[in-house]
Amino acid sequence: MRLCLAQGSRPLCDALARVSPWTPLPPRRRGRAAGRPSTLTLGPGHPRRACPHGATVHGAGRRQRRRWGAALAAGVLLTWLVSVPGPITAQDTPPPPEAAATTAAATAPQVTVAQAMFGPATVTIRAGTTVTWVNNDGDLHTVTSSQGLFASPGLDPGDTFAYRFSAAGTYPYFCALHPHMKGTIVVQ
Amino acid sequence: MTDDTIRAPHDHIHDEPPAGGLTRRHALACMAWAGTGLVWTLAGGLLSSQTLGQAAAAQPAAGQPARGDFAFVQISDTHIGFKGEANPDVIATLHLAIAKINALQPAPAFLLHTGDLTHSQKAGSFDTLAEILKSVNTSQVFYVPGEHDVFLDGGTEFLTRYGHGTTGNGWQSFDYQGVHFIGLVNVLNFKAAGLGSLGPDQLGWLKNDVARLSSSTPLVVFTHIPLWAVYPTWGWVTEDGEQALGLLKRFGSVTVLNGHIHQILQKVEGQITFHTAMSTAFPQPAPGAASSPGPLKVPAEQLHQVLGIRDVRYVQGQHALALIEAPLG
Repeated sequence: MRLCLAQGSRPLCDALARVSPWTPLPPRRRGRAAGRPSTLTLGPGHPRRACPHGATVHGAGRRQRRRWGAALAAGVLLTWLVSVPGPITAQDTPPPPEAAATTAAATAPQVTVAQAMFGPATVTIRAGTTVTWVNNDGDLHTVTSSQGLFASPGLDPGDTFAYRFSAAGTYPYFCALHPHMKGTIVVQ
Repeated sequence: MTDDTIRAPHDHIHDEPPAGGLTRRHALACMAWAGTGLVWTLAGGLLSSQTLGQAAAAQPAAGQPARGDFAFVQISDTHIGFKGEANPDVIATLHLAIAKINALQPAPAFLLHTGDLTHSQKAGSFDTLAEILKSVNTSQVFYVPGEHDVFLDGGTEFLTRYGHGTTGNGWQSFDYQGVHFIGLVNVLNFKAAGLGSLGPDQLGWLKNDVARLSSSTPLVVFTHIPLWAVYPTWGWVTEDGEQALGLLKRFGSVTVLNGHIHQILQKVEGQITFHTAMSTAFPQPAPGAASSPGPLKVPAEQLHQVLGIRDVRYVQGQHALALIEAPLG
């Protein structure tokens, strides 16, 4: 008998090839930050990596769990960051906390990366809104503009990336490591 | 061009999958089979197989290859910098792979690294790999990039380190003991919904590179993403790979070595044989066996069975390449 063999473009394993549909493997465990409020990713103790075009990216690590106090304080910083005009940068100065709280919910749409997909695949926002991507997958991904407007570094499980869209238009993006992963931001 | 499937001499899984579909156990069993010591011998475009023990017995003497014969090693997808459940210590498994290489008789003339040297191009990752590979008992390492090596900077750092003596964006060829080796780059120019691609410039270079060669010259082509359509749904294909293969059709022996998918798959098309390789870092699911590609966690005791290197031996005069899969455990 044959097994683990090529069959056109199908996998080599004959036993595998006969199965239709495939029995999915148990879902892989997601990133450590799954379910964690996105605001926690702005803790001052976390690495902030340089990004083009004023975007921000944040890494999640074990030490994050031990820094709830710092993270909560950082949440205030995030809510301010998403409310101010212009690109988000590490050089911005935080405003009074009470000014940020009222705008966070309306201006912080989030795209989740899971099972090698962006979800929701299409997000419609108003101009000036910041979108945050959270990698809840078990693999490395990027958020890369198809038009060259923005490009995240590699996002490990639990990492986030944010970008502020200032002008109306349609902004397609993809994962530079898995180009079959696509998404679109529509700015009204 | 006809499609011929490679036939395995034996198996250790059931003839039929269980009712209701393939189980994880069967998928892993298949992967484990792929990592067993089996030699594929290419002679005149036809594959035959033998066990690792038989292959060793066929050698003139351990460590004493006949004049003109040589061996080389394919290593792939080292993913320095990866930290995840699929393998918490990719440095340790790389050291195990190097121990395997250094135990080979005869020693490999050189190594081919088929890409994804690093996981995310983090600072120091290339240095870490370079330092570790200094312990390999061989004279030279040839590299082609994976998408993980170029996605941040378009390949600038990779080419600075490994592009010396190459053409274009890292294309390279060299001759060794009558065999012509060709390294292709198919991970640049990724775009939305796109696939790996070689591009017209590289295809033009390839055409010129092989134009001077006799059709009897054995060819070994190494590149990261498979040149054949392994699983386009997951991007496991080079969109203009067929054009490259068309340039190689006239040759009597073409061996294509790829990485990227972290598992052994093999196929024959006419005189061309395709072989994807194990990673030293972590396995990935069989095509379509999971909702998406990515690091696959297997039971700890099985990890070393699905990681490994490939020992390739050439016997002069037979135009034959023997591929020996060497899992870490």
